[in-house]
Amino acid sequence: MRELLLGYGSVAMYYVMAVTLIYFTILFFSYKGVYSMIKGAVYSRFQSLSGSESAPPVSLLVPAYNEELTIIENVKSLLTLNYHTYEVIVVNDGSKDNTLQVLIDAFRLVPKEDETIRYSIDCTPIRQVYHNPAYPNLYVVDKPNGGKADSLNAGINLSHYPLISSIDADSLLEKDALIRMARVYMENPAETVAIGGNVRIANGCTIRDGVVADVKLPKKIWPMFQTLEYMKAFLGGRIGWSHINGLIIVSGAFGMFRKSAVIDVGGYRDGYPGEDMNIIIKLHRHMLENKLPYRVAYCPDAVCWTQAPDTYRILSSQRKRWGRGNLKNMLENRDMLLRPKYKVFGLLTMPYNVIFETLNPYFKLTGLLALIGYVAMDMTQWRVLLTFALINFLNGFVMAVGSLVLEELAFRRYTRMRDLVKMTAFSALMFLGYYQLGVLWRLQGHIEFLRKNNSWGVMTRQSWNQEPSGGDAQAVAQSGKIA
Amino acid sequence: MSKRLEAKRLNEVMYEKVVERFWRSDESARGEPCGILLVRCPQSFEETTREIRTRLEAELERSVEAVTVANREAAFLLFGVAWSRTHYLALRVKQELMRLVPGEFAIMIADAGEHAERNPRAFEKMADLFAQLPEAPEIVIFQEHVQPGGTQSVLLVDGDEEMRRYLELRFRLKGYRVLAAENGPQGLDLFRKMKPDVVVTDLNLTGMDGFHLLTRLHREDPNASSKIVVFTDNRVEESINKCFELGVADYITRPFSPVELEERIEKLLQ
Repeated sequence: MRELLLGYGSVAMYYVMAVTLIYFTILFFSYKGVYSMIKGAVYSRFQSLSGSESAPPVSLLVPAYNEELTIIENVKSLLTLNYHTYEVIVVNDGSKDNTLQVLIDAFRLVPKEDETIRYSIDCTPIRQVYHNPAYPNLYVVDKPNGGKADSLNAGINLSHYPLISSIDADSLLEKDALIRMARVYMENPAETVAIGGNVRIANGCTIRDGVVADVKLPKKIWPMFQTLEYMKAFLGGRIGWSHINGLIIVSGAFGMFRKSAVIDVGGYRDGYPGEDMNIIIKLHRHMLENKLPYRVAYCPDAVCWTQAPDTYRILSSQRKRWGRGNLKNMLENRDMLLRPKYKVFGLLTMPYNVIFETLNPYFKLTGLLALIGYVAMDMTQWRVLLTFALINFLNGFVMAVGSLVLEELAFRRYTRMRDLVKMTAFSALMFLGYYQLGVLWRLQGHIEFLRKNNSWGVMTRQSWNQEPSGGDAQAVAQSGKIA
Repeated sequence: MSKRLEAKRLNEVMYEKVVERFWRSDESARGEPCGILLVRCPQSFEETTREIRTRLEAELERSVEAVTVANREAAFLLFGVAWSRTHYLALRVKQELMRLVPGEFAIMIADAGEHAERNPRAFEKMADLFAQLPEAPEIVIFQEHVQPGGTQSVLLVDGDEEMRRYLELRFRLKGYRVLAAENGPQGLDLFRKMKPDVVVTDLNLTGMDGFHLLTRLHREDPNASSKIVVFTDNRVEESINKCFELGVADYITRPFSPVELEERIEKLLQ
């Protein structure tokens, strides 16, 4: 027993060392990426670029399920982006409320009979396409309920332009978001297949006319934690991963894709959460298997503001779903693991995700058990234990502060000194409970996955319902379904 | 009520008063006539103007707006008073002046014209002429030939504040009356209220997308009596085409030459 525990101890130490090393490497790459981004942005004139013919036209896909309360505002805001040619395709996924009717009333839409849809990807047949010549850039698609992925596929089938961009119906894009993304695409149009956007938490911010007018930190504790978490994940993590072309996910809330590539991989996968990670894995797989040069890029200055769940219940269900989706994606693509054929993605991204994301709860759990064992067998000294705890904390804290500094260097969205102090303080507070809860939720997600293994069909609808979306009213309405 | 404003010229204070009246009043008062009576007397100015004012108020049986400058020139703004009545009142005032300050005064009558609020230049000419008048007991009649479209109005719709201010300044110097809106709905609102001669609008707006604004403007004004100039970053052929289909008179892309923009607008208004 003692030997086992000792052995575990050394393995755990290597584990922690490895993860720390990877974290810091990625953070380093993030700094490098942001540095070149800042330099690039100085010479880019987005205003002028937004009207240039060289920026390719974009189709925005907005899947909407029971969004009658907020959809009008969001569509109005999406219609006034700073971009020369784009269309907004709202896909009503068989909503049970009046989503379709409020859209028809607000924009005086009429059925568009002459629209032909090429079903290049499988999706539930579209019932009707609505349009109004007075809003030439808006299309509304009505189709029976089929899930978020299915809605996106339907949107792709209707879309008229070579680039597509998926946006959650409860998210707001900044006016320049599209052109900033398109700039990244234009840097290398031959190879770029997907670009991720930066998702920020809008709770606490003042929103006027569909534009985030005043950026403030959330007042509630759950959104506050998520603000820091997102910042760390997007700035500290994704910029770095994209730098080595190992990005595994482009957030479903805001991402841009080359349509032809998405069609090549058969569109979005249906029937399970985590379709945003799935499409990226499929793109990696497709490009690598066909030995095509490609790039999955990330654009940290293209900002999408989203409403974060602000109650424990909704947040935990969201995280369980993420855990479930992550596990599913890892299991489905386990063949890519450590295969040199899949280059950085198979050799680094996949192992990293499996070991440090998917299996993370088990390491944490066994660690806890081992700790109990050490104490019970009197193998430990408090001083050593404290030192380890402190090192661990400092590592994490430096990482978190590293992301904050990145934010302040490059974006400076939170200008108040008070906010900076608050963010630093909360970065430390996250170690007392929030991270541990994250582990718990992921574990619960895995349990859900195992239990509902054969009932994905039913899950589809449910998972779409569980989308943590919208304003408070929606959140309240949804919390019932989640239980 | 008379204010002493040393720094400003007579025409400026008059114009301000007229515009103020115009903005305050509702639709019905917009086309009302406005007689103007200008009086200059270097001697005992204050007593004289007070006397004249009392006289006018007694005649009209209501209070009268008056502005004075430099303690020697006064203008009485007779809102709602027709030309013939103004003339009659001027004769009475002249009598009064002959009695109070014989030979030491100049008197002129004018009217503010139909679109006075659009025409600061008429006031300027009026004041210039008045300043040159010799002191003589004769009523001089000032009649400005308001050229049709003398001062025209431009509605600017642009989200960029700096651009808006810059253009506003330039257009104002060119003699246009400038209306500025920072977003689509505000622009549409101003268009409905003011019926400007020219609309200069960006396609990239907040609150309403640029093409939709053009559609709405087209619907409001199908005969294109207001000329619409699209002034935008959007250089895509298809957008340009779409705009002309929506009845736009001109399309100017940025980066731009201010001189060119002004010239093209001037051409449209000829």
